[in-house]
Amino acid sequence: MSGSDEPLLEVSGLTKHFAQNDSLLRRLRPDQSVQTVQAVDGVDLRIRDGETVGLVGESGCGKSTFGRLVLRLLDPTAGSISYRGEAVDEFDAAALREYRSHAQMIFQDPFGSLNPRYTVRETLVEPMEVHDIGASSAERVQQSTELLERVRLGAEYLDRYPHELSGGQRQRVAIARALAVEPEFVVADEPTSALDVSVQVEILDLLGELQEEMDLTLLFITHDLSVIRHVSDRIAVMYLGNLVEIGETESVFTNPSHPYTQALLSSIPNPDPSATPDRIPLAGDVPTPIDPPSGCQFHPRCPKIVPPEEWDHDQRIWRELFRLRTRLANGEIEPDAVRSTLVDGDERADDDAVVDALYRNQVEERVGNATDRAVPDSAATVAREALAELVVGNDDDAVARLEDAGFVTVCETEEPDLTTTEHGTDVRCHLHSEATRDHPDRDELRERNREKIL
Amino acid sequence: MTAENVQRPSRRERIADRLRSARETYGRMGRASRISLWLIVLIVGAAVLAPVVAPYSPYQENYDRSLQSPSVDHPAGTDLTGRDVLSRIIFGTRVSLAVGVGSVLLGVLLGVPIGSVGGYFGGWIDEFAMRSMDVVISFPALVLALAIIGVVGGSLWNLILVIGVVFSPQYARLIHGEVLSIKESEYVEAAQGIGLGNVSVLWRHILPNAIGPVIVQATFHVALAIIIEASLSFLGLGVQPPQPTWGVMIADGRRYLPAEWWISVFPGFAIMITVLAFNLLGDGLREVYDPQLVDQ
Ligand code: SF4
Repeated sequence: MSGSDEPLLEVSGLTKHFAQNDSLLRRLRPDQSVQTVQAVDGVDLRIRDGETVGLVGESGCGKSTFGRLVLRLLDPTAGSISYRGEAVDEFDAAALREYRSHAQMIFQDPFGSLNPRYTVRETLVEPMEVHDIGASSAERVQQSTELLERVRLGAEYLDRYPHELSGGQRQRVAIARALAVEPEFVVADEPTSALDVSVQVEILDLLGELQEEMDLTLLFITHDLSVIRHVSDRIAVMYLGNLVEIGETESVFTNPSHPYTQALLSSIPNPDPSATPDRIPLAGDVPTPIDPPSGCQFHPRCPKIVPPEEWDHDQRIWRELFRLRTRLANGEIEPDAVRSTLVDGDERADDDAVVDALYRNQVEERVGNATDRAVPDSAATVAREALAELVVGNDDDAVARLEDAGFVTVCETEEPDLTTTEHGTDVRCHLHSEATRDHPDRDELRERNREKIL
Repeated sequence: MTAENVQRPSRRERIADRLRSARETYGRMGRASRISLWLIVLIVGAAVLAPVVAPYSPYQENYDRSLQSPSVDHPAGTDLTGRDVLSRIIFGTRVSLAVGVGSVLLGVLLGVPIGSVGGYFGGWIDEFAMRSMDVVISFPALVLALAIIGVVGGSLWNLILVIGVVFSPQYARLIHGEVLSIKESEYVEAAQGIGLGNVSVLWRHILPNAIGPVIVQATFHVALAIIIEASLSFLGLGVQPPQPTWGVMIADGRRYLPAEWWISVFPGFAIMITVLAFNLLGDGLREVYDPQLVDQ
């Protein structure tokens, strides 16, 4: 399925920020500010002629926005898109219209992507009219019939309305519409996720066949890794508007390098036993892209977060203590609730007892779930001190106590660069970035940490 | 174009489509609104065929028959100058419908483009369009109409113009909201994605899907416009005599109450029935277009 090496589409630094609750009046009022959502944040990607690239990520990670940017259905905030060497981001209306005859989109929801008042005929003929395909109406209708046959529907569907069709049939019509302009490049945005499982397979097969028949280049957007393995030549994994791993499908599946990719892969049911180890649970939810985490944006959830080098113990223990720090900083731990539970249970409920209880369920149990090693004494002391600060109401000091003790990581301070791994995949993670290892800032950090308790 | 011979059946098909969807709508309406629909057909027929249907000329004075009570000759009696009240009511239908339909049409023609363009393009265009509509809407409709008519004087065309302008912001708002929600739908994105221009997207994809509530509102507004016309005519600010209108007839007949009640009561009935018919039809259409509203 692989095509030549020439890039059909090249995207660099592509960024899209949405303003929330924006309006003229709001902008004029000094007491109101406009929040921005960083949906796509500086993405670089090259798509070669004839290949299928799978773009994967959880919902809300910006992958659909990315697909729309590439087609200029949305205008980028920054960055460039070039299609066969032409700057798509600078196209005027006429050039954009021309571009639309090369690049098309298949939408996620076949119940929403067809005009309810258009018959199938009207839906298919319209794009041909826009791009002057076919000399007469008769010819266009003829071509529509051929398109319908291509997507395994027949001419008898020409005069149906969307409400007379099933989900799968609608999606076929939507695919036919995208193909009506004879495009080279198609963005398929979750084309199967709104369909029944049995229909999903049919649509996937159809897309695969069409891709070969018509020599299409495909950007396949999905949250479902199991789908993508069968259709894509390459995979790009997206997290909070950034690409964290890009590589050949097989390399990524057999040797996922980014902790996020590993977690995603481990969540596929019935994994290839040789390729993926046990399920890696992700902590928490996807953070909002309104105020994304610093450094590596995955760090609050990352199971492999990098401890400072001075940490000689199990990484998992360090990770749990780091997460304790995050929870303290977010005000997620409520000592009063613990205290009232103790009171209700007729137990001792002075400050020490509360600290003990907190330590047990915030540290000991969690570490116990992650590993069978015990928390080293020095770390346990720091954690208790921090919790004690929390119990007497000094939330900020609690966080500071942990920070001072070295529970800080390069993952939250520095954004990792894209690095090529031994498996030929590009990964954005400190575990793989050599450059960061020798970073001067990092040396400094190490020096500072030496003097501390750890 | 060579397409000519192909185009024709497709146009016929389109008309067939319209008919089919109209029949569908009719099929889904309740009994009350179906009856109203036929009543409206009857009223419109009376207006169009007034010279044929009316037993007398509405202007023909006959002092021998002044102030006759309803009889076989004059089913709705006669007025002071002996004019046949029924004939005048039938001819009055013309003014009422002209004002009702004309002003609503004008309101739609003004409001829908303003609201839909604002909603579709957003930004300062939207702010400007909708804020200016807000200014118009902030006056009570009848008071505004009264004030303008007071200045420009009453005539059929002035009435249509004024009531149309007064109604237009409501259509602007209605369509604005619809367009805002529909423009987010994927079929609109798809239409943009195939390279269709903004005007075509708005005209072919958004408006046909947004117009339902406007049609419902228009039906109610026809009734309201008829009432406004009658009120203004009653106050002598509407269509000028001797042109028969229901409002003027009620105003004239008021002086002969209660003895010669037929002069004002029959035109009153005419207004009531017409308004009721349009309102019931509006209700019926709303149920068809917006089933959720009825569930609530
Ligand atoms: S940079 Fe750090 S936090 Fe980010 S994925 Fe790599 S190890 Fe995890």
